[in-house]
Amino acid sequence: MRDTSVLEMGPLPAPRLAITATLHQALQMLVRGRRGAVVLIDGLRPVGVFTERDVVNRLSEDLLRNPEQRRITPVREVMSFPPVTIRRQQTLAEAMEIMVERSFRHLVLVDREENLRGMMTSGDVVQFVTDLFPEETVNLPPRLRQRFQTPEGA
Amino acid sequence: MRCPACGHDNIAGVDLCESCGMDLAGLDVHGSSFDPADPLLTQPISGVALEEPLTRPMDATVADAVRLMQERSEGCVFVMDGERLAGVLTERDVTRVISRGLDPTRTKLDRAMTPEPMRLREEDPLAWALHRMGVDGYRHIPVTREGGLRGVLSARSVLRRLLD
Repeated sequence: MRDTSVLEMGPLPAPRLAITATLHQALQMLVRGRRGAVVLIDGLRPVGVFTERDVVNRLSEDLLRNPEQRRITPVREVMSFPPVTIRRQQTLAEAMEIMVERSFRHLVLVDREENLRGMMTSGDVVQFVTDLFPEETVNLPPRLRQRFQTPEGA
Repeated sequence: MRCPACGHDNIAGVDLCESCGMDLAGLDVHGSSFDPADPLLTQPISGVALEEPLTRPMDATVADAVRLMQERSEGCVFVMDGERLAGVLTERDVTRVISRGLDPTRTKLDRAMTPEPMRLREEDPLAWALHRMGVDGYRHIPVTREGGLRGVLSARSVLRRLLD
């Protein structure tokens, strides 16, 4: 895990929208993307993130209640910025430390030019770790110390 | 392997004990595939710091639950039917309610929650929780003690435990 680079985790898609998008558009993308966050971009550059947590924490009562207001409010007014980014060449352990220490569930992946290349979620990390230990996590007997008394089929 | 009946030390993998003839088939099948002493396997969920669960009754509103999540900086609220855990309202459920144009001050939790969430007991191994989080994508798993809600296991505390 210490030596695994983010690149080795396979594709980590980032649902994205232009920074000019409305809050309404961002909410639709959040639900459709199923990644828990949407990256707001200016050209290829990530400039902000709008997450499911932002829906709970950053929307005023009016924005929570009034659909019309959400159609005219730019998402940039309620997004989190600047986005927390990580280079794809960094290690999984570094990414996990940022997530745990700073309580971020989403890290925006960028290349050397700071262009958007994906997004890593805490769910991706758990999934990856699960795949590292398939015997332990997927193949568990009903009870850990259980020993089958007869071979299969007997 | 040592015969559990007579104690004779047989070579590994034999089906019958050379000394007493006891059926040894299958007794060592798991010996090489996993080690039950692996700390990741054996550690029970109760060995990880659980978070205090936030709860609200079924007839509370989504807006009420959102306020509670804001105040306590938590990502989910458990929905109780009396003493019984009936569902969970996550940030994702809140997002779904809002994106559909429903008014959170008029939407009751029983209409917005994810019903009957998967739960684990505190003596269950951490590996099970890891499995459910990885395969099913859960970020919060309710943990029970003798049937009652004891706490919440979050993906974050699992990651922190893995980093230690």
